[in-house]
Amino acid sequence: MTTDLPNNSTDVNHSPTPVYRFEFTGNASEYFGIWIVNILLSIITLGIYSAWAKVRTNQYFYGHTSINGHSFRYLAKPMQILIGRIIAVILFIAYTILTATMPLVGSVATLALMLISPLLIVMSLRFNLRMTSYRNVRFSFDGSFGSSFLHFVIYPLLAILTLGLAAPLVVQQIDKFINGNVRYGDREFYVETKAVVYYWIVFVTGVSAIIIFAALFAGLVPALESLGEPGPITSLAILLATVIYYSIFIGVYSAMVRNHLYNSTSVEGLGELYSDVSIIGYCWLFISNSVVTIVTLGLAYPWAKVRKAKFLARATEASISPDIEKVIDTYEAKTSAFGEEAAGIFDVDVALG
Amino acid sequence: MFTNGQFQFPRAAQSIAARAHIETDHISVYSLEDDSLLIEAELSSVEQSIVIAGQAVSLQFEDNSLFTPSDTSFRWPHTSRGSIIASALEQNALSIILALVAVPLLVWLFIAKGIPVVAKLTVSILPDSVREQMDSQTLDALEFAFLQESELTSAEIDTIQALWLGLEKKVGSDTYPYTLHIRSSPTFGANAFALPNGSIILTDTLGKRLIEQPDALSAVLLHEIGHVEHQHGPQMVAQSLGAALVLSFILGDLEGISELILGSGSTLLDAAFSRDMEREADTFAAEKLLELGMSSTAFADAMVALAAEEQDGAKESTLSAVAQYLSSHPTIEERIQAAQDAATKQ
Repeated sequence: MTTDLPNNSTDVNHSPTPVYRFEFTGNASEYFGIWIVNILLSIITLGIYSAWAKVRTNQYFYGHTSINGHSFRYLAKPMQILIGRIIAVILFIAYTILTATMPLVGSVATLALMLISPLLIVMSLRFNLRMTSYRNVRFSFDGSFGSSFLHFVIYPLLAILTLGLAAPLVVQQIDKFINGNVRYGDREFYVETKAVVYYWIVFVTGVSAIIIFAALFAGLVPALESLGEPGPITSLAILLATVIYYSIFIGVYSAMVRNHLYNSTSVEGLGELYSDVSIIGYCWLFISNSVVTIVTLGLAYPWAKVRKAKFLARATEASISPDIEKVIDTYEAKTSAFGEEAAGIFDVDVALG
Repeated sequence: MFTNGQFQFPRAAQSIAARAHIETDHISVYSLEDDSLLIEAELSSVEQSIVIAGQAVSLQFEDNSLFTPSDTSFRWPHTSRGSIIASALEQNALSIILALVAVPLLVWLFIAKGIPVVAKLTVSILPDSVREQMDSQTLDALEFAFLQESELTSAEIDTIQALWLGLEKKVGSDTYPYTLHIRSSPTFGANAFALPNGSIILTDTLGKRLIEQPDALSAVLLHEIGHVEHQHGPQMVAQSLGAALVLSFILGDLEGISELILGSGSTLLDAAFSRDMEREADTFAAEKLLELGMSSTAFADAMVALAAEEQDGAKESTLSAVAQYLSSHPTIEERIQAAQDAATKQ
């Protein structure tokens, strides 16, 4: 197949940029083996192997995600991750002992952790993006520590001061900070999300949550009363209702935010991202994944994870200009995995949208 | 030997179809379009990506260019043995089944046996100065948040303190500077608890309820001394730290297992540790009561007094079976039974 290339550069803007769909080619049975064997190896090596397990798991998912015939790659070295993780664990032990044994000093440490968490978030985003490549060009993150502090400490405080009224605006700004500072080689990501859409999303999510709660309540209460004495079936029914409630809550919100975020994102001189996640489909994915994972006592986790990756890949497109061949990789500095590991262990991680 | 694939230029998103030739550890990559030589190198200077199910092993050259074979099952010479073994284990039915059986067993072993042993060890080497430091801060924090000056009469306080001094002299080891603090606390209700350095806090409500039953009050105080002597406080800290480390370090990235099997499990686990500790302290109290010539039923009496309190509370909130399972103490009935058993044995 040949593409008609424009004769001169002035025509570039007129030729439509081809649109491609993401594809995920991994499968549940392959990943099940990787998952369970890596857990075993991690346990019998007292955690040392977990760094290798992380690289293998990420590479499995990155390497099986492709668009326009090229797949992504995860480039972190296990040794980097192990060193970062060991430092983070030592700090975590010190922190836990401090807060448990000396509550007063510990509360100072907790405050300090809150203040440095924006730093950890930036370090973690930098590491994860630098370790991701597509067509032999790495991604990177350009957000500054100061800006991170503003977005993860000051803005949330404002949200609290306004009794949550500013919360959707704050979340919009945080998402914009995270995704708008991504770089692909020498190209910038632009994010043009609108706060008003986030307010709409929060409204829709709130209304669906109320409706679902009312519906579950109306269905559950008579059903439980007819059962009589509370027993294991009661607990099971309540658990199922909780799973359905949270799945719908998360499903509606994340599907809408993801669609808005992706559809507002473009990459300098290359193209745009598109997301068409179906809200009902996403809610069903969360409900069925959680129920099956719980029923199988966690054994279906690999199946659920692969299923989600497939679902999201199918719902994602990007227009990619042939100009992508002109993108230059800017990767230079060595980067440490400490921030990423500390963010994970202290639970201040954020996910890329 | 040769294989077709894709050659990606260094530091740029540009790629072309190419063919790699390998002759005795030397690799040359040619363009499929015009047969021009793109790069050549010794295989030893080239970095191979990891071997993993369904993915081609690509070669990263020193100048950062990349060759990826189209055939995902193609294997280069000199691939790292570790990578090949890992991939083979992940795809072998036998090792997968083995892992499936071994993982739950090992996780259980770690949590149920490993962590408590390590916790006891850590605690036994904990310097006294650290323990004292720990407590003065905890006591300050408690005083600030939950405790007020006792509202008992000075006669009542004197009676309790006199009883306490007698007990402490006979039972307490010199390791801990035991002191009894009597405080009013609506938050804790009828309760007593111990800090690791030997500070024991008794609430007004419990003190008042047991003041007419000195043996029962002694039983409660002995139970608290038992917690101190067995170093339960620091052990609890070490145990929850251990559980957190197992969760985050050993099973860190394997979110599935840590969230499901252990995430909720760690709460249950903490409660189980705590129940074991309560039993240990109960046993300590029962033994000391006998040594001091008091009746073991004194302990049962104290439990009955505590149970009265719990039943008051129970009217307001119906405890489900799950909540009882989660409760950090063995059931009152079980403890009374154990105390009466100890008494009849004598």
